[in-house]
Amino acid sequence: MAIDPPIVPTSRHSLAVERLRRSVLGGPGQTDPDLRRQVAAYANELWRAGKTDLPLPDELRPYLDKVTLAAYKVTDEDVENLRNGGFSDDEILELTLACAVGCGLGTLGAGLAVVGEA
Amino acid sequence: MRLSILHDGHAEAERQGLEEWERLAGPPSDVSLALAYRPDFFGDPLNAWIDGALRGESEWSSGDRELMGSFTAHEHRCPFCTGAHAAVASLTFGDERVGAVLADPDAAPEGLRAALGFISKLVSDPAGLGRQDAEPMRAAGVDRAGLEDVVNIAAIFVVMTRFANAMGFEGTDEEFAREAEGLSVTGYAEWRGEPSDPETNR
Repeated sequence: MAIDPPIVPTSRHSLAVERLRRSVLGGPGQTDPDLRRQVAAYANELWRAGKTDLPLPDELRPYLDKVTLAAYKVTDEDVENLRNGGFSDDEILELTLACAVGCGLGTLGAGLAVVGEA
Repeated sequence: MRLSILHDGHAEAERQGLEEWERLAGPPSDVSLALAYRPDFFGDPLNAWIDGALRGESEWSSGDRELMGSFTAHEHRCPFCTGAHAAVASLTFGDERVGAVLADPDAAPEGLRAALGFISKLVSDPAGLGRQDAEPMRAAGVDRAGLEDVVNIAAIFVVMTRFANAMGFEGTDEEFAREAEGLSVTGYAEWRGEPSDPETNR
């Protein structure tokens, strides 16, 4: 089942945002785009609400929780653990970016919702 | 950087681009290296978004917007993005003013101060954000487009600080200052084949 992060309200920069969303969450890569969208949806909800029940592979959760909520705490060991779990550097990169973009879409969603006309 | 592919895994075309960059402006920073890796996937679309939000037409000056970016990065404890964009903002405002605003956003003039307060709430308590949090910006005369710019800048730095911190970007003030000078010439979108218009610096 494909999971997508929520639709974001439009703004004057929506075309650029859409280009980025399509590339990172849907473009060709080493990881399945369905997994990238799942990561983005998970990060989006976790970032906005501080918790989420959305599914995510267990082996990714510790790293992506950290990237979402406190990326400054990521260590060399966190990345090494993913490598030891069988993820290539390109896969780690793509999933990190999917997570970051999910948080960015969450920021747009939360921010644009309150700046509209009264 | 934690992933060596971002340092030296570039395809031939990007490697040549980086060598050309180095001849013109010195060694590329970690962010330049990272955005040049598989640029179709992330770097090019990201730079297009940044170019529109930080350099496109806006009621905010580029210096204001760079300072908003640096402030957002500061809120995320991302020394790389804070320093890199403080260096760009300093070209407009000077190091002292930029440092003062990062240390205390109340030191900023009214409109910018309102924007920084909004960003701080947005990135620390998105679930608690309400229309009232945008009121100080509206009271300072910021229009709808200006409000959208602020939200987009915050979102850009929510993305970039996670990328930079997770990947372990490092840089020095000297490198930030050098790259800020280069950026003031090229803009964000140029070096990957999307030339800036010298008339508008876009």
